Amino acid sequence: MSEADSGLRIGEGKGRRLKADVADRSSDEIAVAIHAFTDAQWIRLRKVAAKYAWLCPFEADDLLQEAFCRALAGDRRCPSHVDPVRFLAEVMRSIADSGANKVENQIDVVPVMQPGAVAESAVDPTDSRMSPEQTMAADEDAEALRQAMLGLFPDDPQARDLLDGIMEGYEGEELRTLTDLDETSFASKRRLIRRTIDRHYPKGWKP
Amino acid sequence: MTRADKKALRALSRLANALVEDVLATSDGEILTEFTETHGDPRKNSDAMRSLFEKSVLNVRKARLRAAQAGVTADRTSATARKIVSIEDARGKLRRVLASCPPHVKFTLAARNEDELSDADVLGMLQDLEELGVVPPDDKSGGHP
Repeated sequence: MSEADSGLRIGEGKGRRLKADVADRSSDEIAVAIHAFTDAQWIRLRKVAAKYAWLCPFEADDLLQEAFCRALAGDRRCPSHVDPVRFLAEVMRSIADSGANKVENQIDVVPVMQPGAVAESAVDPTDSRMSPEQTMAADEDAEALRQAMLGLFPDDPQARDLLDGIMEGYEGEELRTLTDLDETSFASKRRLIRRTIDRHYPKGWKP
Repeated sequence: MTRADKKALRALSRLANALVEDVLATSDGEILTEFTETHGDPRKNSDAMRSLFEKSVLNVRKARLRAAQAGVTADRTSATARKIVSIEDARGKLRRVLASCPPHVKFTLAARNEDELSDADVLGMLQDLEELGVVPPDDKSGGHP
């Protein structure tokens, strides 16, 4: 068979193979994969749902169910090389973020009530910038969270540093440098933090 | 949640991400032991989670059925809409068809002049011609056979 007959040029085959490697799972395939989850995978999924439920007004089960629905309906596609638990975790994170933003970005409106005016004909959007009082309240909320979490590790400065770094937005190598922990010690410390928080806040933390 | 919580929410979000990374990185053995110590039988958890998943499967199937039903309704509506034509166009179409269709059909249908037919007769004849296959039902040629 000639090159023309095969419909492929040199290099295309490789490209196609690469494309196939990153193909998405179909809805049926993701359903089959979820059905086949092991006990450990179900536990991970449950724990992930509980964590992301902190960030939104939904319960963990509702968040998880919404993630299942989006995956099954094909609204979110799982690349075949991605672990389905990680994929569902990402879907939940995305739902939780958008749920939180929806509430957070709601523009409060108050009717302009003037004598003789028709109430429903006009609204007055509130100022979306934070007032000095709101800024102060935000700082207080963030500080309350920080203190509550750091307070779980009164005698462990490395755990406190790591936790503080995480909440301030440091990641990966930066965090390890900040805390002077090698990869294994970093993983152990992060696990200790998670287990301690789970023990003290089994129902999570709602701001 | 208010805007005032935004800063705390950002910190909480970073914390949740880090803890989720840890959950995903924990080995099967460790996570099973941890769960057994705090919650009990992992199989009960699996059963409850599978049941939740089954509910989601059912919800998605129902949503698909509703979408399919809505699609059928929309098709019917648009099919009805296609039937709404101006009577002038319909008369023009009938004239063109009668002028060019086979003699035996013309003999059967064109007993009278087109301008003597009522609107209902015109539409009825066009429908008959469609059923006879002289005019395709989805004729987009403006009646040119």
